Amino acid sequence: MALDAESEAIGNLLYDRGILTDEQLDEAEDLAEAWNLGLVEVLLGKRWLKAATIYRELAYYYDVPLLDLSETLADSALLRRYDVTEMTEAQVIPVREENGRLTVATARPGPVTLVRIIEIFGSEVDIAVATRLDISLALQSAFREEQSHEAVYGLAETDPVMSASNVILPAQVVVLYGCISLFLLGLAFAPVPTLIALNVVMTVFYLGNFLFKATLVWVGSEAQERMSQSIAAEAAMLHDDELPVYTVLVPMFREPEVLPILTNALRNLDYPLAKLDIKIVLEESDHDTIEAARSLDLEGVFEIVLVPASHPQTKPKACNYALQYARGDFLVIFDAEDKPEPDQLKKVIATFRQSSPNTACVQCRLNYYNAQENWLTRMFTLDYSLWFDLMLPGLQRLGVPIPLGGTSNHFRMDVLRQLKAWDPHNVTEDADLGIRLTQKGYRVGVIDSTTFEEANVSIPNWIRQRSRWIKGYMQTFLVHTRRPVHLARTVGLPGLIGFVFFIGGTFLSGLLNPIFWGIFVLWMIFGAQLIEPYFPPAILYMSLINLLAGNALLIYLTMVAPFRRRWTYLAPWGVTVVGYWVLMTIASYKALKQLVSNPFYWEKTQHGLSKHTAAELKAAGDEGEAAT
Amino acid sequence: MRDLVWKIALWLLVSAAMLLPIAWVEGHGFLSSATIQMWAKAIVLTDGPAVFRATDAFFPPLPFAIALVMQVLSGGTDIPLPHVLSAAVGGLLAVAWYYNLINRAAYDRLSAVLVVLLLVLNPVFLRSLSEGPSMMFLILGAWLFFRGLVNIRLFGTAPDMMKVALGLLVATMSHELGVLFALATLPALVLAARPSLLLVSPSGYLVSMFFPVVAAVLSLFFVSAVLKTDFFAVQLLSPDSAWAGATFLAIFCLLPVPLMVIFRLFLQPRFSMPLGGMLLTLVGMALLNRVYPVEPDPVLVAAPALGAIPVAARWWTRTSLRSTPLAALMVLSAMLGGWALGTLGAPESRAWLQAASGRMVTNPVAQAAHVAAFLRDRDEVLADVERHPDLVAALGNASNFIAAGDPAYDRVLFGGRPAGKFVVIGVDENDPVVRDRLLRALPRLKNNNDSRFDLVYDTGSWMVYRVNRAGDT
Repeated sequence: MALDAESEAIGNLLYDRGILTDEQLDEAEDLAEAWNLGLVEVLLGKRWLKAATIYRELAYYYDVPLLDLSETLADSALLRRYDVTEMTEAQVIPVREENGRLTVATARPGPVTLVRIIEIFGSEVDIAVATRLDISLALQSAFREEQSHEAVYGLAETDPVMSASNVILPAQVVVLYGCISLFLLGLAFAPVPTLIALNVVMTVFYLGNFLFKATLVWVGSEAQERMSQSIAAEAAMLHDDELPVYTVLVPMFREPEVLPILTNALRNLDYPLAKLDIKIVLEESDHDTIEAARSLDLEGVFEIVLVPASHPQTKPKACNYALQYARGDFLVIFDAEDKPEPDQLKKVIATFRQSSPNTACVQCRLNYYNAQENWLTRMFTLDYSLWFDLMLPGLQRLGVPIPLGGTSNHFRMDVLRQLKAWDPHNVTEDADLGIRLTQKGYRVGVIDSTTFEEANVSIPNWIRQRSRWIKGYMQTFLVHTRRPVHLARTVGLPGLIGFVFFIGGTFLSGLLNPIFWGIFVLWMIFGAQLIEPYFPPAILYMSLINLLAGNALLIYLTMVAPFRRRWTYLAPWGVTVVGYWVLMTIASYKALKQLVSNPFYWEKTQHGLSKHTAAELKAAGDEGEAAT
Repeated sequence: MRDLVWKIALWLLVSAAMLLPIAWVEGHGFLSSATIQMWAKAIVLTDGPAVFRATDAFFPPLPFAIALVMQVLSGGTDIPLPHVLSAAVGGLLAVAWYYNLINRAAYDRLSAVLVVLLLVLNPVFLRSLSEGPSMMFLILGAWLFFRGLVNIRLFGTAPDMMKVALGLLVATMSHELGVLFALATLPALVLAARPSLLLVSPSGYLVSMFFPVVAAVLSLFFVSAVLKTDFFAVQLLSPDSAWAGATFLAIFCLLPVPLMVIFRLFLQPRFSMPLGGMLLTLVGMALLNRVYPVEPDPVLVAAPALGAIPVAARWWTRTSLRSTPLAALMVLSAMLGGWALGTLGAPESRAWLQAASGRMVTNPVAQAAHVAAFLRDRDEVLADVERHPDLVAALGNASNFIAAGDPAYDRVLFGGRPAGKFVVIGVDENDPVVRDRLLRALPRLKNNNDSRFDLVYDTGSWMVYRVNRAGDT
């Protein structure tokens, strides 16, 4: 696509005024043509010029004043008279009103914006230029109450049955109470048959869980190889000029140290930087990270969104808040320490193109770059390899609702907004959203593109993180079983079974394991006589199958998991996965306790503890300097 | 779902068809000792005295466990249930091979049917069907392993690794020879591995490949220990130097197709190495069987090579005329298989060949039918049921026996006072070792020379005594 006249003129101006060099201008013009963007957008994605310089020159070019909104504060009352969505999309705000004329600030003056300004504010306007960041902050300041409320209660008010704001509904309490009463009555009047019946339920559950996981691994791996090749081929053929604007949300909290890694990773994405709408989402109270972000003096495509303090202070609430300022057709969430594979966004676009129209989300794989650091990181890597590389593709193949992973899930923006995005009361909001998407008739895809993260190196830190995940799974299970018939109708029988085993199984096995371990120890110490009354032969043999074949199967699957990435050196560590299960059990009970006592509390995972992170920080710093 | 129903229907149909060749040779008197053994064990364990405690091992657990379940569910039939299981596994193999050729190797339906038909009509396959489910499961395990072995090199996905593991597990849990098969795979796994996998961590690769077998064996030892049952045992036979040569020749008779595919793909290591690994496994298993003899019949030792044929056929270079040379080689293989049975096979294989060609052979169960009829209405019969599976099979139940595990039986073995009302013993004049443990404990019964017993039935090979209580106080 040829360069438009406006870009050409602005380019010449910058060159004439000695702001751009000859080479920079040539490169920027080439990129603008290749990406089908204006020159200003390209320059905002480069680190040659400070954003303030570009806006200053824009004002000069259009012969309009440049407003510094940090000094000339926008009139919040005036702002609130207009539609926030329209202003956000057009990147325009009214700054003041004098003598019936509005002064409207825009980050992108030009004919298109002028038309939008007239549509929104009428023709009695004076135009000024302000930076995109200033405009965004002014909008956030003026609408903070409404948008904060929307971020917290948007889902609960429009679709309350899908919200975890009520941990458990009265009907669920009645059912739970009934079950416990029945069990206690059974214990009182027929203790042995009751315990046998309970044993049968648990044993069958375990057996089903083992078989389900083996099936997932088998069917998942079969399908994914062929699809991966076709997606990679289409992604490689995508032209930059046809790529849509992509919003990247990076929620962070008290982790200033990893910001350089993140920005560096995002710069390395094989996607026109000018088509990225990167939002670094920070809590207003997190002064250290805010300061660190500002001091990095990032390119114009990076935008800081400050989330007002409110309860619950969770990542989904921050994302919901930032979503209201997102401009992309697609959206992805990355964690601060994430290193996505460079072609990930293109692969996602290719996947959306190849998938059915109801595909609303694509989950990429997660894995770790510090697998070899200690036992825990090895086990965590095996765990994630099994989960993301083998099981999630299996869920996709079987049509089971996919609980999305914490990051690297890519959404179609229209669907995300329609569904009111994430549940801020659910501490595994992504898992919940994956199930909700399926229930609403949308499909979640899984693709072969990996985001590498920092595996937890500390056991207490890991337990905190895992207990949050398990608590979130408990919340998700409680939310989506409120209407079991509706769930079965919307996700189908395989989906329902898969949901029970995958979501329910994950936390139930953690809770039940110590019971069976205890029985096993008693059996070994005191002999079979002690347990015989509660283990009739059929149950005994089934329990033995679970104990030996089931556990061996899970260990084997753990060993198989890293082969796809050729990480064979990790396979023998799979034998020690039993220790990891013990940690899972501890986390499960912590989660259960917290579900009762503090359901919406977000256990913060401390990042940056890995010794690899220091090396990453240095590399990011070096690359950042090289780019300037 | 409809596809699955159709596959299950096809499997049932083919399994039923597999019963025909089994019934044909059985009709001519052939019943393998392995089948009789398993059938009798299933009868004794389900219908026998509640106190019965097997002194023989529960090995191999996979076919035994399924046979037991079938025996419980059916309540006993006149058809040997191991035959039904054997036919079911044979049907499963045929259907799986057919779909594998169609879906993975893009054979047309007619060619796939032809290939599978020639495979199942191979006399060694038919002999294996009659041998019993252990051998059929071993072929299944070998096929799964070979399939996974080649795929690991080519694709390296988790299901391929699971195929290797499952194959080894099925083989080990199904037949004594399967244990040797699993051991023999070790060099083959190295030969067939992706160089990249071995380079990263050879130990990691091998540990994960062998984990299922090790876990299964340890699990069986654990179960044996906690349930105080002999679940795992491989009985070694006396070595015979003639085996090795005959076995290699028998294996070679089944390999024309794999050898041709290896020859054609020799210069492509990604194919030829894992395909060569299949051969290496078979040869290694035969060598191990020479050192640790568990299967005396060279033809049956060669039978797992049948699993290599569909894998080789799957990788036969795709040309429009591939079915013709393939079919020709399979016909050759079938002819060689027939020759091997007659020339290299052990007496049972030769007997099978006779029965298959329409000549009557001795049926051990039919031979025991007369004594079984005599015992049918008598109870409290002391019998060494584990050494006389033919008697149990002929009787169809074991409820009127006093068997191992019953204190009365054990007392007799230790020289105590005879219990029960009757004692049945089997006499084999040609056997240098007295296998009947009751006869070993009461040797004078052989010549009707024990005053505590009155001979009431005698055919030379079977003798039944009534316990004489005259001297009891």
